[in-house]
Amino acid sequence: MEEVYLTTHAAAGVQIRIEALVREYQTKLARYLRRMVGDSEVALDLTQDVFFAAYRTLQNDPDRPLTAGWLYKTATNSAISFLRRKKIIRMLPLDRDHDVRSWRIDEQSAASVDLQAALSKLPGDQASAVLLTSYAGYSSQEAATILGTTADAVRQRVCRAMKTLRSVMTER
Amino acid sequence: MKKNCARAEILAGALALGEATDAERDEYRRHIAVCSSCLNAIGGEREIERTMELVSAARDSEMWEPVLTAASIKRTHATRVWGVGLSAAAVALVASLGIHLVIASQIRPVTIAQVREPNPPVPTMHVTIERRAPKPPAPVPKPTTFEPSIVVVHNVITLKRAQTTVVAESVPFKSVPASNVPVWRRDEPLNVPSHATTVAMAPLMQGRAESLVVAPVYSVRDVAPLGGDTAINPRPPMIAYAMGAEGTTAFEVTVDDRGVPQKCTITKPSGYLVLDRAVCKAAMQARFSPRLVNGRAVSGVYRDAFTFRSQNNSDNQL
Repeated sequence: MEEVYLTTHAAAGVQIRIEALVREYQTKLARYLRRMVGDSEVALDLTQDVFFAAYRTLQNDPDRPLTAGWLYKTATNSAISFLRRKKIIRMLPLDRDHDVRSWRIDEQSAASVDLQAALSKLPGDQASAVLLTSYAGYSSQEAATILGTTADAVRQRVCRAMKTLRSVMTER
Repeated sequence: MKKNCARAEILAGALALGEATDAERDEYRRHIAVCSSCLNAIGGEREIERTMELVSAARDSEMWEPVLTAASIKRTHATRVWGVGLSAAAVALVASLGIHLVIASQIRPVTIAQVREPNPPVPTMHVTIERRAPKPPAPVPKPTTFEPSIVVVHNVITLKRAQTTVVAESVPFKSVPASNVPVWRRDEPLNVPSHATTVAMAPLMQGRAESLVVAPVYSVRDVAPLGGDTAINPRPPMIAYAMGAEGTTAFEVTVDDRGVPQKCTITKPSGYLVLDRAVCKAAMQARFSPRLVNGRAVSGVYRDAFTFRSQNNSDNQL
């Protein structure tokens, strides 16, 4: 009887923690993923996957501290995996450029469209470096921890992404 | 130098993220003062700030509020549907395999001798000869109604050329550089050397006689389709038949150094979008032999024209 009570209690704790994580980070993660993959529906699916992974992790180890960095790391890996799969499966109509047209009119500012055009040309690691630092607000050191690399590598990726951004701005 | 440029990228990244110290700023300034490639590719501090302002502006204009509930419901439903479908398919596959195994185990191999039966007796045949009345003459077939169709006449376009009048006095010719597209006429062989040429041309705007016949614009080309001119075979859709569409479409195709068409432009529309689209579609499906300059394949242009005539008009004219 006591064991059942403990299990229920732990499950309730996991549920509460997941709900708190979803409330706090669902918007930020979904926006970050939409910029990464360029598609709202896919971004929602990937966000769902991230929270589901968090749920499974907490189920296995309820005492494990799940930080925002863990969520962003999982989201980045999911997005990069998706982009790799998308390169292989070309027949799906998921072009990142086309999806920008289906975004809300109030989001189609010149800066937003330019940024998305540049992001669609960037490799996944450069896009994630730019988005984690300039978009999500992490420092290069924190972004390096999330991406599993060094701060200098993050800065270098930001600089290379900036070159593409600059060329896109020049084209328009 | 490469090592310094890699260091400059790191410094520029730090500047972009607002994490650069004064020493790093100075180091970056010193580097771009002597490295023009980094200055052109990355830019100065002002350019870096301007580029990063784009990201900030995009972030500030973000208004999307995701709704995870709807996505999760849709996903769960889709997963359930897929799960049920796959389970049913797996059960059907296993059952089918089992049935086939049972049937296969119960069938014994059959030899030909067992199957062969004795020949049936040959029936007696009775032949009766009778005289029949001659057959009435076959009815004359009714004239069929005319069904409109379109005949694609390949390259029958005839464009009006400038009237040439011979004058007695010689005209001073002026040497003007032609484009690097060699002039090729339809009645000349295809193996015209494809290199930049300079041709002598009389000034066209003065109404004087021309001693050199210049090919019409639509036939100036420097690549040829693989399989000859008939390799491009436009097929207009059925709507063109109903519309009775006819006209001449002139087009040009930009071909890259591999012989793959990159872009098709209608230079003279026929007046019917369906015909123009059919021509461009056929041209983009063709493959070309690329233009060669000093033995190296380079990109080139193919120009041509098609005339579409409906059946009744072509009967009258051809």
